Amino acid sequence: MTEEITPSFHDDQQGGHASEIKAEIALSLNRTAWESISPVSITLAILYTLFTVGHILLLLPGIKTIMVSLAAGTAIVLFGIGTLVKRANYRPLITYPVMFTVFVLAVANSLLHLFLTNDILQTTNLILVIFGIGYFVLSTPWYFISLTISTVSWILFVLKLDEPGNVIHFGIAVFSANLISLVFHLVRKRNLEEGEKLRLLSESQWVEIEQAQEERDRFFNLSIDMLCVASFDGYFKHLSPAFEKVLGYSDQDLLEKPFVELVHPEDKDATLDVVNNLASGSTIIAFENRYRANDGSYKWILWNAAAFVEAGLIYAIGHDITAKKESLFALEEREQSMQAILNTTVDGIIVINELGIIQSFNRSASSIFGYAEEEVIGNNIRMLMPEPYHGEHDGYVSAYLDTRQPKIIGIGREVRGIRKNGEIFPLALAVSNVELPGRTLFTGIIRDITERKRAEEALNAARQRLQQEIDLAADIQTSVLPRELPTIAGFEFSARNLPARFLSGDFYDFIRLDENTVQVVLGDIAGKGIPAALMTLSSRSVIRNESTSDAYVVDVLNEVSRQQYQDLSRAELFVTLFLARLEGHTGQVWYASAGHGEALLWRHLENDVIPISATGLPLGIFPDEQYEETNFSMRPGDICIIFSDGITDAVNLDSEFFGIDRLVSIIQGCAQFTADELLNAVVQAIDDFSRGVDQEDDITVIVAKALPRQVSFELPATLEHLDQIVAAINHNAALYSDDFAYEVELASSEAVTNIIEHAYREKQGTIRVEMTLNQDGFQLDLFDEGEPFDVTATPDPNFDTPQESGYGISIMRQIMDEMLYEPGTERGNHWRLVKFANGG
Amino acid sequence: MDLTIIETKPIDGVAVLIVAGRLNVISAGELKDKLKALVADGVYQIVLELAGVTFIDSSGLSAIVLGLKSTRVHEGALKLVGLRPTTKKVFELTRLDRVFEFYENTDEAIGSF
Repeated sequence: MTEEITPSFHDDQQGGHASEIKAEIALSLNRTAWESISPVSITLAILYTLFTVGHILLLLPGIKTIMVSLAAGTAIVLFGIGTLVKRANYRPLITYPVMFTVFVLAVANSLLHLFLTNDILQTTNLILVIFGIGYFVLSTPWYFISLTISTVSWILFVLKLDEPGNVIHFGIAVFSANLISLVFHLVRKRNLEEGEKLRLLSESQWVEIEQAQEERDRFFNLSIDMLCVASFDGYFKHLSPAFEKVLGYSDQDLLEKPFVELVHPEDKDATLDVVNNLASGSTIIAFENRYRANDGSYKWILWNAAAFVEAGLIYAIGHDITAKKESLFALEEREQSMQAILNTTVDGIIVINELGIIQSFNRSASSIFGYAEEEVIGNNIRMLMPEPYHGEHDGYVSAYLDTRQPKIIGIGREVRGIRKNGEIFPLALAVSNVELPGRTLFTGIIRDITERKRAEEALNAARQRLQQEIDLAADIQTSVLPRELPTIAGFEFSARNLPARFLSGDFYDFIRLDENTVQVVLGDIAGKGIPAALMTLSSRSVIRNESTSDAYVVDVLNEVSRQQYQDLSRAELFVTLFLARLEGHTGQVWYASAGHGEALLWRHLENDVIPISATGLPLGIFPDEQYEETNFSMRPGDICIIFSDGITDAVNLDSEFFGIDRLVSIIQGCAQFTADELLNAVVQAIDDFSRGVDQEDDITVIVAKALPRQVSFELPATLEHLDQIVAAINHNAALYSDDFAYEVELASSEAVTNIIEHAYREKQGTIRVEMTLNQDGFQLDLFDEGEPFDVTATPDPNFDTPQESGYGISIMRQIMDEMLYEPGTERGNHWRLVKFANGG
Repeated sequence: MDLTIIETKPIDGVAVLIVAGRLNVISAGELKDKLKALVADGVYQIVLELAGVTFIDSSGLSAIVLGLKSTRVHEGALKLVGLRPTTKKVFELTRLDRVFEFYENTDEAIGSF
């Protein structure tokens, strides 16, 4: 039937692909056919059946009835076939023979009526029927309508035929019905013409559509993006192969269940919202959600979708952005962790650009300066700086950019910052530059050092207090060191104490025992600093207490050892102690040394250095150590140097020790120096030697130099005193050597004999003897008040014949290096006899 | 008192004087006296044993020279034994070492006569 062919696929063109459209069309056609068949054909069949039954009932069984029934049955069968054919093949033209057959049967039916009934009214009615049927040619549906009306009118006519009014009424009814039928027909006809045009059009474009469908199919199938059609009820309807590639499910799997089941739980609500929005006609751009893939992972899909609301369909394009998303997440994570690091860093971190504009300001910077991040970002960094930086910072930056000479970059510096509340505070600043294409950023790492500064100041103050106390202690310690050097005839002294720290573990002392005697003390506590310094004080006072003019140094040492042992061993300290008693008028030295090996005796005449060894162990090792005492004598010019091991242990930059040899050569090179000069030379040498090296140990030096000395006496010029006089001279001259003393005695015996025998003869008088012990020799001056003696009047004796006298002067001349006789000086007649010790 | 002189009995006409101590102006007279006495007694051969002399000056020397001269007058001799180096030196200084005979020991000196 014509109504069945009404095409509807054009409505579907905007979505789906070719096969979709085709299916839709088929569905639509099927539905139309079925709808056409059911009411119309059933009604028709019923009417024809009633029509036939009516004939049979009214006209009695006979050949006519059978013929009518056959005709009606054939018409119905043919109609059914026509319908079936139509359903199998959508070509509308095939319906025409069917329709025509029905028409023919209807005409035959009417003619049969006329023959059989011979009834004018029947015939009139029949004509009307035929008239109605005439429309069939043009419009089948309206044929059925008119036929139905005719049939109904006919039934009514049959039932109430005998009333003439009814006949007229019936006639009007039939005419009206046919007239209405005609109007509807005309309207319908126009529609049909349009439908036909459309039908023809679609037929001509069918191939094109199919081609387009194929292209769409290819496009759909080859698309890398995920193309799909889904329905509002939440099911995919159609999926491009990309779905399987991305998610790993077969199309079947995906089509079976609501797509939202595969959406990540967190994205479900959003997805449903989107579906709702689509359903209400919105277009969705760039919606992202996650789908669970077959392997359990989630894929990020970016969707663009629109809905065809009328069809309840969603057309969507999905794009797998999982990789991009993951890298984005990684980036975000990194940025977050960077931010977290920045924000959790204790140091303030500020980034500025080359104009000084703050780009970044971390949390610590915020808490240091008291500004919130948003208060400073975009502002010039100088807002955080007090003068002079405030005004000069731009200059710093541009100077750097011009010269690229870093003043602070990579160096770090202590500067001052200003807080929001105006407080200026010290901060440690480290700046690094970040070179980006076309611009430079500067990163400042800032640490508030207010507390550190405070702590430093407190520490400095404490240090200062401690230093003051140490200085005080050092003053006390210095004050107990001898303030002045002892002055006794026959010796000159020099002494120096150079503590390695402020307090010394060395100490020295000079104790004047009597007018000719000095006790020299040098102690070295094995240790430095305060404990050693305290010990020096105690040792010093013990020694002072024990040293008396009649005490042997060894007794002093033994006593000091005994008294100090407890303290020393408790403090686990040792002391080396050198005690020496120097007798100025004789040059005699008695010493005892507790483990102190640092002492040298330099012999002037021999230019020889003799070590003065220790005579026992250091104090503090054994409680009852018994020391020994040793004696030596010093000639004028001899030098005794006593020192602490800070001298020999001084090191230079090459880690060499100063050692004893260097000291010896200094002494040997300084024979004519005074004690002070020698000491200065030693200290200077140590200083030069260990330049650049911190002094490790306390240094103490004592120099005792024996000076020329005079011994004089006056005795009566009598033979009874001769031996006494020459013995005294011998005794003093013995300092140089026994042979030397013998010869001096011999010469002086001649001189004194001469004075007694010749100058004074029998007269009373005295001889004044003055001996000068020089470093080079011995000088004897004799004065008498007797008769002058003409030494030139005594020529050398005649050595060829032995003489009983006259040898005296000759002996004196030969023995002594100088002989001088001055008669009648202010002090009397003066003999001077000089003998050089070196034999010169 | 500083000088000790021990005189031994002459053996074969040789007298030996053992001298010890300081021989100077104080003690020289004593030695001179001894020597004079020996010569006076006819002893012209004298040995002076000087090992004990610790000191001698020109006065001591003169006593010994006197003894030498006295004996030489009588064709005798005075010989010296056991001088300390310091004593010998005094003889050398006065060139008297050229006129005296020195011996290491007394027997040798005695035997030389």
